[in-house]
Amino acid sequence: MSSVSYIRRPNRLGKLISAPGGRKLSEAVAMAQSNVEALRPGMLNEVDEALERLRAAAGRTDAAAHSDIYNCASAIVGFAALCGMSRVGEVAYNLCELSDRYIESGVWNAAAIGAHIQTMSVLRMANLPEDSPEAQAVMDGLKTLVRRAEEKAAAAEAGGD
Amino acid sequence: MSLADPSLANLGSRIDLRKATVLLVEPNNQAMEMLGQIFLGFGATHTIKATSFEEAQQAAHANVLDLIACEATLQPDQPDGYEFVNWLRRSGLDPNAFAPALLLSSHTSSRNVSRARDCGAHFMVSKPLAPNVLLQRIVWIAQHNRTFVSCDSYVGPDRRFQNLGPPNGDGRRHNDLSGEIGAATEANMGQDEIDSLLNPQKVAR
Repeated sequence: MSSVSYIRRPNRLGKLISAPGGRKLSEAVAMAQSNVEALRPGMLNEVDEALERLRAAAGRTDAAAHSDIYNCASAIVGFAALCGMSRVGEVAYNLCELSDRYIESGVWNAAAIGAHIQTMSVLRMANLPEDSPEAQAVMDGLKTLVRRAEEKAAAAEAGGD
Repeated sequence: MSLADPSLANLGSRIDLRKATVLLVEPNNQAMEMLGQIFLGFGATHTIKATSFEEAQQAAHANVLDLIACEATLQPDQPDGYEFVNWLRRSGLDPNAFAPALLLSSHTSSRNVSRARDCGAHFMVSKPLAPNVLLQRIVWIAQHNRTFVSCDSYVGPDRRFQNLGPPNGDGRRHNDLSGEIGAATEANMGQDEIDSLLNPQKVAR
């Protein structure tokens, strides 16, 4: 049987950050938020570049293409909502989930992946207000497209058995 | 729990990261810039930046780290952030092997959260980063100085930080108690009795 040891260490971080002085928590958050706000143009640029790389990766067939799609989608999630593009971030997160699942299972559905990329492009270009019915319609359209693409792939697989 | 320590009385209302050394591991330049600005807002003036697993290892060897914020996905074809934290916990570097570590990820699937927990990270924080969430996690870590557990399959902070009793209320051991606390049936313990339950030991260095 393996042995387990419990190690109690001094609370170095607690002692450091609770030293007299410093900033109120609310001030620290406000300053951090203000600093992040100043980076917004660079973040927007990062979303556009990741979207471009995503389109290119979707058109490739090499071994690294699938993980590149996952990484580009991850990059978009990290910035989109901070630039006022929560919907794009939402679709990018779904793309992370989908591509991760496809990579794990070894079954890749290019149509479902493509639907996500197109949806992000539409949301980015149309610049729809986040809570508009049009933006919601685009999101609903994506769900339908992905469902159909997966049903089609499942039917093709069943037919091939 | 460390909250009883009077020197931590300031925690929860103020934060002073001026004397803390914070390692930031992030391969994306823009994300690194953002992470650096968030910590600057928190008052951290000494941040060390690493963009890969290898650079993070070098930083851990060369500095005493008080806090680590590490992106889960690092450079392609290289070990990732989970592997870095796992390596650090087993590195034997003292005190860095015990440093609080936050893993940052855009994709917080249950699989990734489990990986973060099992590699020895204190928390996983989802992106896009919200400064208030990040700060809450840092303060929580500082307030709850979790005991480290070391065994063949895991090295890191104790993953059990909730006492919910045995699963489904039924323990597998004859002496497992129910998760529910009933009314007291005996008088309170005396201080001597409490002291006798504790067995303080020096930490081996």
